[in-house]
Amino acid sequence: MTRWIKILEPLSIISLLGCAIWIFYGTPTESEMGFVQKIMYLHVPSVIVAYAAFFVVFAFSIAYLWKRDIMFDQIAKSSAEIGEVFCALVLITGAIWGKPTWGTYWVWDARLTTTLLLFLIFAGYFLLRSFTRERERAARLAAVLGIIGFLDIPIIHKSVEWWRTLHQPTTLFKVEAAEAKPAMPMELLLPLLVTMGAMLLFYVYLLLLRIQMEQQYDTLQELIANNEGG
Amino acid sequence: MIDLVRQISILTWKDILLDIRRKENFLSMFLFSLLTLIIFHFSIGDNPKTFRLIVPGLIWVVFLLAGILGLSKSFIQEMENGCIKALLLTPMDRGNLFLGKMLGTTLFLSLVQFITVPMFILFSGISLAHEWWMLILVMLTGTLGFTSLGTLLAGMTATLRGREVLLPILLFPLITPNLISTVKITSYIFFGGEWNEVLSWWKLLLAFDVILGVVSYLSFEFVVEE
Repeated sequence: MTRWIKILEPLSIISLLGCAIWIFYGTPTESEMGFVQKIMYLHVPSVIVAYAAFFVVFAFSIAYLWKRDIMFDQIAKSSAEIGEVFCALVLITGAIWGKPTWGTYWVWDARLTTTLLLFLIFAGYFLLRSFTRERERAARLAAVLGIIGFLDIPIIHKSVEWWRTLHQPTTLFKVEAAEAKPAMPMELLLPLLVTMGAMLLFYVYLLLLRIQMEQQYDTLQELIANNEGG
Repeated sequence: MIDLVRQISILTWKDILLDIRRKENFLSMFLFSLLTLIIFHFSIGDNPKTFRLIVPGLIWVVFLLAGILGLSKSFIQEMENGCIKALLLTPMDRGNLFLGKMLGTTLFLSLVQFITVPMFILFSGISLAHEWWMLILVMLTGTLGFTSLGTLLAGMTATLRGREVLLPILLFPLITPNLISTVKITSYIFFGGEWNEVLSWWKLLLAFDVILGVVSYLSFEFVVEE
């Protein structure tokens, strides 16, 4: 693992830097939204990373409950932390992007609301962990919450989507058009895809780093416990 | 199959019996709901017309707050007298334990609702646009979704420090689909609206109940494991 971290560290940082330079100097400015639109290159990849990270939490939570290997829990916990950070990044960049394009920092749109609830569910996930003293129990309870939280997300999304659209005229906020234009020109789409790749690489690097820390922490706790016991 | 029904009914009956004997549980829940309604009325009820419009939402907000009390009560009681240990020692499927607790809480909370909701309607002067049995149906379905997820989370947090604050923090974001659909259906029953819209809310509510119910049922054994 240490070897992979050493490889990924320069690789992800250089590729992120390269993407930043490309975004600011190499890509054309979008005609409708202007310079602000460049925040998309941070916003959209963050969404992808956040959802990927929470999917990893879901998968490794199931794996933990099944195999009871503490390493699966370390992976789930690390991924949840990174996912939470990226989720916060999505909300913040979304608000910054929303102000000039929609005229407001926040709209109760389906996607925004779902992301906010996702953020809050996993905030509860960390609170649950910190309130649980025993390591094994914390892993078990967090795994159950990680699974339920992830499964609930599509239902939440559906409900807030209907809640918005069934009563409110959707033409008021052109939210759908701003984010996922099906016909995005190639010179905007390509850097977006590349940044997504760079961001995912960065996620893997952070994840490995965090797992290593988590393992060291658990080993340390075990040593302390053994020392006190004997 | 007969075993299953018998085990669940014994568990449910145990909870009901406890609630009958400890009348203060019911009384406190009822008073809590009534007082919350009054507080809301004083803070935002200046105009009876606008207040009437928020009553469907209010009913379910009050239910959520009262339900949290009911849920934690149901498990803390078990912890305090060590009953949960005895329950876990019995050769019984953990899923049945979950169903028993869930049904007990559902019956209890439904009873609270059957008394408080008519009172809400009475106080705010609403005349129903649709049949009253639909209201009962939505109350039961909504409560069922709430208690299935709630029983799991209450079992999860019952032994932890900070359980009073942890339960609502975990429950509220997860319960949103249930809340939104019950409020929409209730508002349809009160004021009328398009049937197609309500039909999709019914579908969503049922989907929530089934999915979260099954997942909670399956994962309950991991939560109460010693």
